[in-house]
Amino acid sequence: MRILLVEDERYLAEAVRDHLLASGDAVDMTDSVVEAEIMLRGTPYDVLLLDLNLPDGKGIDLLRGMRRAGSVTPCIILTAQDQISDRIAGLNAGADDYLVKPFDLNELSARLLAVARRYSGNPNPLIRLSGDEGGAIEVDLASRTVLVNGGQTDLTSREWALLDQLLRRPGATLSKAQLEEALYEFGAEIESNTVEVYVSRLRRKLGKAVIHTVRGVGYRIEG
Amino acid sequence: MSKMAKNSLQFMLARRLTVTVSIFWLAGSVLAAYSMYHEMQEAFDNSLVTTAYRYAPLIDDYLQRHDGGSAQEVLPSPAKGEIRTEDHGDGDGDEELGEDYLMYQVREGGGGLLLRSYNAQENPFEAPLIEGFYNEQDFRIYTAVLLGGTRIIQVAEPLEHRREALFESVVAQFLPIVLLIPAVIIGVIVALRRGLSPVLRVRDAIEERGEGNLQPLELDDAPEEISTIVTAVNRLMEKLDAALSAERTFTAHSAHELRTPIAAALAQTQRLVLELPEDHPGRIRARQTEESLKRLSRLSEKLLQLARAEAGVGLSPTGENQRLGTTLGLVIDDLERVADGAGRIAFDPKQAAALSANIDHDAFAICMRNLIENALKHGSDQEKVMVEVIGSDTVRVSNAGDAVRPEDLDDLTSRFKRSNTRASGAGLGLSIVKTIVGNINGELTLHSPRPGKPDGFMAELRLHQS
Repeated sequence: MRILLVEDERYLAEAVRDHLLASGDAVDMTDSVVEAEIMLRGTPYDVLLLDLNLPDGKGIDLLRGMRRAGSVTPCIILTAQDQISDRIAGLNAGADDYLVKPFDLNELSARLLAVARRYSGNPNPLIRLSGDEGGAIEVDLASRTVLVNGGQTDLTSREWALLDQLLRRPGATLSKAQLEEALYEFGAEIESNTVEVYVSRLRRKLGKAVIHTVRGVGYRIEG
Repeated sequence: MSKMAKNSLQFMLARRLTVTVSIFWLAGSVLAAYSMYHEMQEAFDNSLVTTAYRYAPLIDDYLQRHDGGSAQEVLPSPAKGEIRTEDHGDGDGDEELGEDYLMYQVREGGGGLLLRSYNAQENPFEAPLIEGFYNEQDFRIYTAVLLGGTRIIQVAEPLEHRREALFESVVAQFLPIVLLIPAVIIGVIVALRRGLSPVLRVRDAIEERGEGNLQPLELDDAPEEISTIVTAVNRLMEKLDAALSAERTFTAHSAHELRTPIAAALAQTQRLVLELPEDHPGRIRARQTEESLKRLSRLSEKLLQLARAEAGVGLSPTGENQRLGTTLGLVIDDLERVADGAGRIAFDPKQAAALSANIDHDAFAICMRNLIENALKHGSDQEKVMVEVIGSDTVRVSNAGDAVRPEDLDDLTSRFKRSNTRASGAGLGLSIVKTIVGNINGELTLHSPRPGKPDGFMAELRLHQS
């Protein structure tokens, strides 16, 4: 997933970023409302992680502005404001979830997945796919496990991120650029054939029939 | 008209005014009666004198025509001018005093009785034969000496007549007063109610403010005495509002300033745990640090909640009842997401729809979070924690598990008290709830074992409705 993290506490932001990167997500980070607005206009983020008290403004105003402009980017508020009225105000402003600091990083990951699943239109974390020669592939988005014909297959974080990206829009063809954008944050060094490399690795592990190539357009997983 | 309390200003003023007016009224009436008594005596005496001298020529004429008269001769009474022999209908055959109350005897200079009116006694009056008034046992007598002392007329009036006349006059004066006293009381009460209505409006307005509303009092039409009080109360409430706002802002800022560095430390530590190899000795220390930071986080949360409770949070800022169903649902939803609460809370959101009370949403959320966290922490895993809404103002949170000893039950709401030392916790949860409940005039009741069950614990929170 491509995630925008808006947080002004540097050590917290770095830890969250590292945790999400380790999970295979691409994370862009800023501590400014103005910068976040610019980044949101230019990049299709999968999730926005938003602190409320920022040096140049209120995170809640940024969220309201986004929703007024018609943005449907999922948003999880990360804040030290623990009152129920703050939470209600955040949810009313258009947040999808609300996590009070301090939080467990695993809890954050679980909430991210839940929100992303809700937006993909498939809240069920268990997805079944058809493998080669009628084989069965079972993907559990919650526990991040993949069973190929009943046997567990380990995926690296980038492989997982690519699979997750395709699974969240089953039946839709995603371009190479879209996948690169979802997998890598700003400034990351991307080789020209990176997507092809990870698609190839996934096909080796899951079977050739799982990911379809649409020539000249991109890649697709059938729903 | 509502009943007045005995120690109310209205009651005291009504009582004092009524008693004072009545006393002065009665005293004035007594003085008037005393004055009337003397005037009446004078009038009656004048009447005796007038009668004596008016009759003198008539008697003289009568005696000349009847050759001197005799003691047996009787004449009409002065009032009627005729002899009455019938009684007044009381059946005793006696002639009645009626209006024929004056009687007379005509005496010669030596004292012999010449004539008498029909209603006069046959024997001569005892009064001396000298000009002036004389009181006999039953009569007031005026003696008029005529013709150089050769003829004397004595006109008598029964004292009973005077007493009766006086009594009737006094009754006629006092009866309306006695009948008017209740009217005076009612009049005083009505006048006081109208006069004190600005005071009562100020009282009601201040009472409303007592329910958590610190808006300034508006009483433009109040008299000067009251408007001074209103201004003073408004100034006081302004200061109180500022103090409470400062307290709340401080706790909110403290929450932010305290939580953010703990969050950073915890996140960095968790990353450290994940990044260190499984067998690295530093990993155990990092885990311990992570646990300590989580404990510190929980403790800081409880201390901030306690600070808010002690700052007086509780009542709804508007002073009106708030619908609390959604808030309760959010608290439960939040607790169900954490490991302790996942799938362990039984709650019917439909029941909660009716929940409504004069409590701030945040204060209510703090209470419910603490009660449910306690139940999850100390309750048995075998049975779900029950959150029930009873009526529109009561929430019960109950759990299975070991019963608390009766002698420990009351201590649970004391700070840093825990029923079971095996469970983690600061021992502040119930104390926070009790403080908030005290702020809103609510009630927290603890039961162990649960009513109708052999074990467990139940906390009942009865909220205050405005």
